[in-house]
Amino acid sequence: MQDEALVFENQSLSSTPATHVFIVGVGRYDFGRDKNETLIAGDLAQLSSPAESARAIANWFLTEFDNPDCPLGSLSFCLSEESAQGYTPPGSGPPLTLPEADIAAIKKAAGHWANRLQSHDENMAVFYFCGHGVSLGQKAALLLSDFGSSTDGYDGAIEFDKLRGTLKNATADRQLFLLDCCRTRADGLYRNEPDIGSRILSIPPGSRRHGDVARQCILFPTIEGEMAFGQQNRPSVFATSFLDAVRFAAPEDQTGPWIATTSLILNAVDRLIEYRLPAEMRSKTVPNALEATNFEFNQIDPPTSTKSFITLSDPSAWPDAELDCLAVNGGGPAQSKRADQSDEMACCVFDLPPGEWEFSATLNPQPPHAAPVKRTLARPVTYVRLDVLP
Amino acid sequence: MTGLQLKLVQPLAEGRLEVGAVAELRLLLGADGQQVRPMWHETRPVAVWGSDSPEYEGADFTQFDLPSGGRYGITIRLPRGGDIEREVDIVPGVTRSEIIDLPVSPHEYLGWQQFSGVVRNDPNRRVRNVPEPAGGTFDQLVSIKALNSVYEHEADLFNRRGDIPAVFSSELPVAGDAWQLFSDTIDETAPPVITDWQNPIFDEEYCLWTPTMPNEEDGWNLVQALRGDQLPDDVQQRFPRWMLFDRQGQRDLVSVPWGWWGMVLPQPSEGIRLLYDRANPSPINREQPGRTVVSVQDRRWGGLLEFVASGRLEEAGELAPDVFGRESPEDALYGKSKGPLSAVLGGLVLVSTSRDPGLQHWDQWLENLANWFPALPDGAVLLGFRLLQLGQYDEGRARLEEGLNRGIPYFAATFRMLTLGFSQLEDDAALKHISRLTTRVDPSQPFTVIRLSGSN
Repeated sequence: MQDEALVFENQSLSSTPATHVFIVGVGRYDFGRDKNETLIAGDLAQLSSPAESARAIANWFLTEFDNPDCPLGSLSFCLSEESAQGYTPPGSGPPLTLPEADIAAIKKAAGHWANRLQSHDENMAVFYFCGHGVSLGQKAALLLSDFGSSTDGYDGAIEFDKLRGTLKNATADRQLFLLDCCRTRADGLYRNEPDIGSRILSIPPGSRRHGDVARQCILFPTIEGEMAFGQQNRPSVFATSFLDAVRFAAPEDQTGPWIATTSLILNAVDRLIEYRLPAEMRSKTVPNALEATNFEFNQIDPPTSTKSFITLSDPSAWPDAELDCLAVNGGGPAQSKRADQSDEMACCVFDLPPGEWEFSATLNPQPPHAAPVKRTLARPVTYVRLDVLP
Repeated sequence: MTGLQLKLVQPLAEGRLEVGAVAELRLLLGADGQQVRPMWHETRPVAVWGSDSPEYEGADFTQFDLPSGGRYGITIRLPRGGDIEREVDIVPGVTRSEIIDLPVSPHEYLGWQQFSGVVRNDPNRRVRNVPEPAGGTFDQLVSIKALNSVYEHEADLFNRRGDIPAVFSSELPVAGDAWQLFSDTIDETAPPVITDWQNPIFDEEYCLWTPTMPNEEDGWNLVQALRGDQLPDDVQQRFPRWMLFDRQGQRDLVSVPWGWWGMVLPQPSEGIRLLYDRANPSPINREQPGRTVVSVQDRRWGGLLEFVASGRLEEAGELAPDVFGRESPEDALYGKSKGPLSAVLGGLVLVSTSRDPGLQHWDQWLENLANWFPALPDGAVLLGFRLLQLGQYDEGRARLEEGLNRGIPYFAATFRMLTLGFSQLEDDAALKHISRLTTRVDPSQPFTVIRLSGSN
């Protein structure tokens, strides 16, 4: 049976190690707010970020992902959005029609994806989900477009531990899970029903052909509320941070080439979200990475500039702040930016040449004041937090 | 020799963590002011000293041997919260000493809780509101509104913070029946018995209990109880496995690791700490203020515990060899140091970070841990999870089921191993059996803290 979700496949890699990606974006919730609201799902807001996020992630894999030992073997994509626009792979013709991200289509697509994962021991699996997520205690579920239907109730969701546990039986040695979830008060659903979500695929124990332990790395940031999750029709904060991480913030050149491992990506994503969102919008009480096993993910060309992320320790001083960057010893022209000119909610990003720089901020009104900081830019990314003092 | 000596200090804290934080050093610029590629870097665990420790000023620094002079970046990673960054200039042939003070808690009695990141850095009572800029874009205004609504929620929680909770000792049904209790959605346990604990230290945000620790004889009895012996009544009364923190009907059921030190006496600055956060919510119910946090102040294992609890497993893996080099989990198992609970923690880290196929030298003592302590659910679960890793699915299933039948785990991470193990076995019936309880276990703490329903 044909895989309707498959948008890319390199069949020449069917017997060599390859990376197989499965992307799920859910922006339209058929039983959520302003739709056919049900008791279970009626509180779920419709989201515009997932479609943009999922497309951005797919584009990156198709055009920039570079892992010579495990190149891109396939990419499958399911998407539910308010007005279906399909997906146009970069550089190709008319848009491809994508299956909806409901439980039936997801199960079919997941089954095909799992079959591809079994083709070689050294395959790498990547699963990216963007949409509503619920989590309580140690359980988590990723909500699909038909979640909360009157017939299937809580079944229209991916029970995450079941997915992850089953994939421990998969042949693919390395597995990365990117859970880009909008967290809302829907977590309370678990108080009524502790079993939310379905098993979307089955790989019996004993299916692994070799004795290695499957290495799984899960990124599951906890970002509170729809606004912190992502702005209208733009990729989410997590998707943007993940792409920044793999493009420049994570890779290091310890072994020669600039390589990003999953551990470096996790740390970079952590930092980038920390700088993009005020701490109050990130739950401090739930771990970010459910499991963080280290393996190489991708590589980049040597970077030629440094991106500096500058923020303030007090978000209430942010909106009217003006940030300044001054090269010590004349390493480059001074740069300045107002907070309201930034695309980010809580930081400004500057492209600066390497060297020593002094970062400062003028706040309005004063007091308070921001203490300037000097920093040596020698890596592709630098993070600077200016302390706001009385 | 060119080097850097690093000392981290936690203000307003007593004692120390011999392996507390992770420090990363990077050579940013060589002695000639030029970048050196590839960039040299080294990552190492470092000790954290409490500023109130008598021996702190004379305490050893952590020594880094550097490849050259130049400008180095220092990044300090703590169990939770943002990294601390510094830059230092090192002269060739000189060893520089650097003392870094960690953020100070506004609550004088919560120094180590400040370090582990379970308390806030700034007082919650500060009123905050982000003004909307006159020329802001639509997206910026929406973002500010969202942030202000978060502040309003925080302020609302603070204003509704309750009194100091009553503390009871509690019991659950024995062994595997305890799971059934939660499966039937019945939250009533045996009638709790109020404790006569001394009054906690408290202020408008927190309460902290510092209970008396078991002595050597008590420790021996607690370890024997994990072996399946009957715990003497007086020990049971003074050191109940389960404690209930009840604030106006909102109840946290806490598994207290009294046997952590086994037959070894903790040092004066060490012990179990029970903190009640009156203003902040539990991850299990973010709409109501109040949350109980259990921590173990252990100079060797305390840092590792907190990194595991916060999910920073990569850093936990960095700390583990140093911790095990001072007190191996195997020694704990054999009673040579601490008790079997520290052996469980060691096993959790080893199993979670294991990548090599085939048996390891610690697989045998993992089996001993499971066999020698039949009243310790975590040992059997750990072994079961490990057997699945080794491809021994039938034996793994048997051990997971055995762990289930032993009762509720001591460690929150053990619940995850049960869930993942049964998920891998595609045993949906077992998953259903444990699902209700797993939605109520606080995932951000090392030990089991269960939020019971009936909270208002």
